[in-house]
Amino acid sequence: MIARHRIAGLRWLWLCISLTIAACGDTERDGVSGVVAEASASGGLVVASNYPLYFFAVRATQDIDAAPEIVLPDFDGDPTEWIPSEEQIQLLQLADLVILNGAGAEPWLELVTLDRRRLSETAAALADRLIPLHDSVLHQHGPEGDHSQQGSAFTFWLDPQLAIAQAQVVTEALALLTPAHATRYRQNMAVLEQELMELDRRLADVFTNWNDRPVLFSHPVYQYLQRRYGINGASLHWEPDARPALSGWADLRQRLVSHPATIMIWEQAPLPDTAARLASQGIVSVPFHTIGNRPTQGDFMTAMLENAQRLETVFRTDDQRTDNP
Amino acid sequence: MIDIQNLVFSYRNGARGEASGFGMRIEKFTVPKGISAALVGPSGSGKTTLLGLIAGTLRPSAGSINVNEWEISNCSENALVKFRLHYVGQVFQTFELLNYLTVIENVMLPWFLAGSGRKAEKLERARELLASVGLESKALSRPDALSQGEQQRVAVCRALFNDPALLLADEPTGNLDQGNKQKVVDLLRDQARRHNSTLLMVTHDEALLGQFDMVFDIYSVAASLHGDSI
Amino acid sequence: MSGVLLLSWRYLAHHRAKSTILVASITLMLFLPAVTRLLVEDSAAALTARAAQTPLVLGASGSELELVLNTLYFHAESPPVIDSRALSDARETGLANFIPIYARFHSQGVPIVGTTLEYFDFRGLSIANGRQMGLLGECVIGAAVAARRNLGPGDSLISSPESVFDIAGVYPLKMKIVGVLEANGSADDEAIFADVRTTWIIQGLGHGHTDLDDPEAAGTILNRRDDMITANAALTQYAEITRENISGFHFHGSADRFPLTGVIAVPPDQKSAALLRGRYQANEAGLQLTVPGAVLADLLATVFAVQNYVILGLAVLSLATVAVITLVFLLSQQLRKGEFQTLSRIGASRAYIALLIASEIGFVFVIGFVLATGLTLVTRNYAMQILQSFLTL
Repeated sequence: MIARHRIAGLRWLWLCISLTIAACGDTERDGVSGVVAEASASGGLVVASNYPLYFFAVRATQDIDAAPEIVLPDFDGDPTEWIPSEEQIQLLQLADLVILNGAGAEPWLELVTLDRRRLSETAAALADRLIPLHDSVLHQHGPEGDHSQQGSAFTFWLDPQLAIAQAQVVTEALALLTPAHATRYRQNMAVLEQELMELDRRLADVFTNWNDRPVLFSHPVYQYLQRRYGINGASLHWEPDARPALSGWADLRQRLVSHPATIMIWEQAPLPDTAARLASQGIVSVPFHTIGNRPTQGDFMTAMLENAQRLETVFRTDDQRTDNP
Repeated sequence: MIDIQNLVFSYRNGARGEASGFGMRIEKFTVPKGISAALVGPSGSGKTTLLGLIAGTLRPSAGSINVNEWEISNCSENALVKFRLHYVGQVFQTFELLNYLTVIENVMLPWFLAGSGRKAEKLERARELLASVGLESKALSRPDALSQGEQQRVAVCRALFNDPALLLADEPTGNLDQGNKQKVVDLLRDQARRHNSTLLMVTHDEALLGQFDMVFDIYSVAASLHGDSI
Repeated sequence: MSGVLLLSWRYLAHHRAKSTILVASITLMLFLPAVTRLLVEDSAAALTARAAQTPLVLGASGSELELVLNTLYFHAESPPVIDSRALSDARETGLANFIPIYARFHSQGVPIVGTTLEYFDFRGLSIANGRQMGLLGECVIGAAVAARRNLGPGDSLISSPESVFDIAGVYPLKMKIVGVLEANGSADDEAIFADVRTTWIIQGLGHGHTDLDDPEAAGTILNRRDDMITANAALTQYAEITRENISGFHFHGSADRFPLTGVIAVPPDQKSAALLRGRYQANEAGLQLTVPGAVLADLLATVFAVQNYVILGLAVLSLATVAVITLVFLLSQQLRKGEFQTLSRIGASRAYIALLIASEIGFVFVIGFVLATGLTLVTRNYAMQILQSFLTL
């Protein structure tokens, strides 16, 4: 349920004062106080829990006066390990709408007190298309029984079709919040949908031409991409910014026996040493940013297009290499 | 001047005032104005009754009582109250001061009852009277903190507060020692003389009789009456 | 007139003991029925207002009164519970906004109410000092609790075990106070509010412990096989939720089975309310939906009936008091016969003396009335706090 609230002037004043007083050392790192002044002039506050959702919301509200202010809390590192600071929790509580990914992407939801009526979870629209995960550790102590924190894969946005579905949920949530702009939101979203459809065609071309040849993934975060394009992929657990252990290389060698991949897709460029060693084994490394965080340059679409561009380049090159060993 | 003619008074019993069969008759009794007179007689001979009749607290069955221009025997109750309040000063044997008032308030009691006159003036009058009897320093004391002689002097001050034309004193020295007796008698006679007031004082003390202008024996003034018709 | 008043006042002031007893008798005679009536009316008004503000309450079948008292006033020892599934099912109807309440635990006699942020909007509660709770383990406290225990943001409190011998059940959880609510003259002033999940942690349905991969936990591992780790009970469990250990907190079992003591239902209109009541009329699945206003009206009808008997008794007592006071005055007049005679001789009319007596009686009654009024107002002022503390015990 989404509350049709507007933030009254006093609430914004409170937010200004409290955040200013309470977050003196952390405002820059939390990125909250910078939002306040802008949001006070807008038609409400919307907080997105990850970058793709933030992007969809920004695109929906693009060029609309007095549209709600869209905020993405700053966090370092893995978004799934993020626990909001005190100021960020206050921001979430004050928001008229909090757009969530769902499917376990926000484990902090279990720890934070929010108004359920203001939450909109995009995974709810994808319930029949979720890919379950089975890689969490079970533990058991005492007679209570075993338990684990398992859920579904949540990087929906890597499948442009699911990204469209997510974007539509975001659009409708914004329309419910500010019905006056609903038509404009949907118009903006139609443009984005076209772009995502084009991206989908482009990626489909890449993988169709790949003909189901095996591919490696550095981490199991590409499930939806894999499913969408029928990629014959296998996942490792290799950190791009760390040298794999000897056991990792051994594991790789074993994998390659049954899964002779010539391309490894990373969420960011690996260490040169790792890339070189992989290359020596005939495996080309190609970064495909998962865009869970805000990219350093450009936006979601430009980052995805760059991903597509790199894949096109590497897959074409690898195709040629394979054809001409 | 006190003038009583052919007065008959019946004693009454109980709350309903039933005839007791006893009474008193006075054919004629006159005390000239400005005279200090003593009234003597044994106990129960009617001296207090006579004072009550003169003050208007008792009603005669017949006859007339006149005190100067007041026809006491024919006055209404309200008129008698005014008569006593403004015209008569009374001193009682048992002082009859009110213990819940201070000494000065006791002296000012007639003002409390009358409710007229400026308080400041009355307060000053009371202070003067107390000063005249040497009790100014006891103004704020309670009566029960004073000696008997002091209490009776306060009672005299109360009686003199309104400058009465008639002073009636019923055995005012009965409970006092010799020294205080004389002080009280001197006070009363002095007041009578200065204001040309008539003083009628009941006393058993023969030593004091020589200080009065006239002495009356009750039996020469009043005759007892007996019978069912009284 | 001032002479009469002065004489009568002087008399009363001089006879202090008698005057005090008379004034005290009259004060009590006027105060007791007045304060009884006011307290009953005030408490009834407060109960009624809170009940009227709460349209419907969903809870376990059984005593409607107990359900209403627990949900509205957080008053119950071992209240009956329902599963959270009842809340999920209710929400699926879309017929109302449903607000969970889990009011089972206490901290030094003060009820700990597990709920959600919707509760604060519903009751119109705002933060006077500090902020709203944000993380598990945090709580906000009512104004009266803060004042009485001298607590504020930054302080902490600990949940009390349910019984002295409860060593394997409810866990004392140290909670951080992050805010104090504005006083609103209701049971909310006398409560501690936490996220409902925090109260489930108090119950032991959720906990945090040392990471099983942490060397510190090595001594507690019984078995490690593939993806299954078995640990023994020596594994350190946290008695306090902090930012450092919060990510380790998790719940056991299905959340649908987790307990609630009640659910406040706020339907948007009469039709929705009627549909809801029809839905739960059969009391299936051990649930009942009750109207707090109706339940309390029944209770108050009984209270008013009792009040009437009490006031009748007090009225009879008052008559006896008046009779005794009259007797005292009559006897007093007898004793003062000599004094009145003196006054008469000096020049007081019968009317004056009657006025004197009347003034004395008047003073006694006026002072008694004033004292009774003052006592009634003071008692009324503090009575609500006493009443609420009784209701929340």
